[in-house]
Amino acid sequence: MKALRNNAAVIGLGTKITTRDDPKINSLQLQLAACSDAIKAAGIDRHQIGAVFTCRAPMGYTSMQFNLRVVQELKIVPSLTSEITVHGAGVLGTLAHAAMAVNSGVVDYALCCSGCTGPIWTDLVKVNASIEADLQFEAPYGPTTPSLYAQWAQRYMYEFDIKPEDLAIIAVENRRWALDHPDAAMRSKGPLTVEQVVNSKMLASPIRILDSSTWFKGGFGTAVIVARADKVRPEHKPIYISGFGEAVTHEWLTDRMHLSGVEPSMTPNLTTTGAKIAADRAYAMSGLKPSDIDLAETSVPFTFANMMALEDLGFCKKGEGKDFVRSGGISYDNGLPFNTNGGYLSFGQAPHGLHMAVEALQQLRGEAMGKQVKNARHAMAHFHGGPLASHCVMIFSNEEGL
Amino acid sequence: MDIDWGLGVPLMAGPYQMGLYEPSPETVGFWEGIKRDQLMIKRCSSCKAYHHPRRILCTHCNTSEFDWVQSSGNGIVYTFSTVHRAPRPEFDAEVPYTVGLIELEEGIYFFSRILPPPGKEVSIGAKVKLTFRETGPSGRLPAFQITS
Repeated sequence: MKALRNNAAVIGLGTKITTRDDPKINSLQLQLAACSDAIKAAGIDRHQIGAVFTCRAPMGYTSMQFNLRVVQELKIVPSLTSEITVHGAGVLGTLAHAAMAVNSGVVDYALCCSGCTGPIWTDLVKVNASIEADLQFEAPYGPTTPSLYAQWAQRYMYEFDIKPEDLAIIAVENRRWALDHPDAAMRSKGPLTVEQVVNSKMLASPIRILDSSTWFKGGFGTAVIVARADKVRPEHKPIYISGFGEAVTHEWLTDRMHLSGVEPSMTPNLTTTGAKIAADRAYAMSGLKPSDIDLAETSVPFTFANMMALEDLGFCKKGEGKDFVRSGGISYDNGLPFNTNGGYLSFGQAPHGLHMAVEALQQLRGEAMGKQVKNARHAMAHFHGGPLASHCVMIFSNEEGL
Repeated sequence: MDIDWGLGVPLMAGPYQMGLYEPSPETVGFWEGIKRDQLMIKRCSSCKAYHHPRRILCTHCNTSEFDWVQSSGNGIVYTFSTVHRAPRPEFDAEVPYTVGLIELEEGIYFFSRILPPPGKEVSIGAKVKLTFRETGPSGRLPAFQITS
């Protein structure tokens, strides 16, 4: 695994945002617009791209093999191409596959792209409850997406005596970062207080609406060119992939409780997620430890899951998340910079969006669109697919961090 | 089939979205039990370990042969959530309702509706007993009544 450490880098980044007010485009157009910018930024010929990885087909653009749509438009003949289908974690998982592809020597450059215009035109809230649940054994009882995550929240709060006020601090701190970011969905709503969060409308106990993610204002398309280290030039402003890890513990909630024989933390429980395994793997590959991480971004969509992620990603011990958060552990002023664009709760969730990793890359390049984290060398991104089922963790470093 | 929802094709609220499709071959025994008001679970033919009715491979001994056996229907509430905003109009009339995981006496976990006695609240660890009731648009399904 050490052979993979810092031996691949992001050398081209393209993003494309589209909202309801923009001319209508579909998810394929969104991603190709980002690809165009990423290829230009990398300064390579299109035909040098040896591998193309997409996440699963966007909800807004279903096709049997979405990656082939992208390849077909690019008019290239890659050696490797696939959809990376580990639910929402696959968006970042594409970069892990890219790093392995260039390190193997099979290809020199890999393209990863993602993004979906679905939320602009369709009501994904209605769709979600059935795609997040077992259609035979869970969906018939009428669970909503929040109520599936709430199963974890209820048990987690019970086992560790966590109060709604402890969780609310996370929503409040996320909002403070969002106020600095021009694209954050909740920027115009102003600051948030703990009282507002704990008194907001109950969706599915114990989860309230202000404990929950909000939708991003549109589609967020991203394309990334990953190159092996020997292909990197200074003008790329490279960001190195120092380590990564993936872990899938289930597809549907009930099956998390039937996992066995993995490792002690993965006994049937609803208090530790696969993020722990993914993070352990990423740390081991990178040779870094949690105290080396200068900023962290996660894609989990509820306050309790953010607290759980802080534990599972190693920033505090299991069960100590509430003390960590209460004592300013993720304070906007002087804590760990956490969800530095406002996160899913205040920047918003863009389906199939790589926005939380884009934020990490921009921070490490000193090009943050919101508040810039000073002297950052290492950033962690955690992507997950619901309900807390699949996890991909990646640690990025800039040249100062090598 | 390609559907470009991104260009405004409406989503259909068909049976697929509701979880009402035909029982699949590995769960037929469960759905047959529903017709008799019995909760049928799987037991490994080889090592006799109990499993959730959807299991295809025994995670203890890796065999794929199971017998259908009737659950005692006794268990405790492992976790739960009370839904205040329904996912679809078909469930609106029942709001608020509680869904959660029951830890059955046989050691498996089963997602279901949890029914507290009138005026009481659901709590983790409460004892429950199997019952059957009409649920949303899904027909007659197992549910669990709190007994303590």
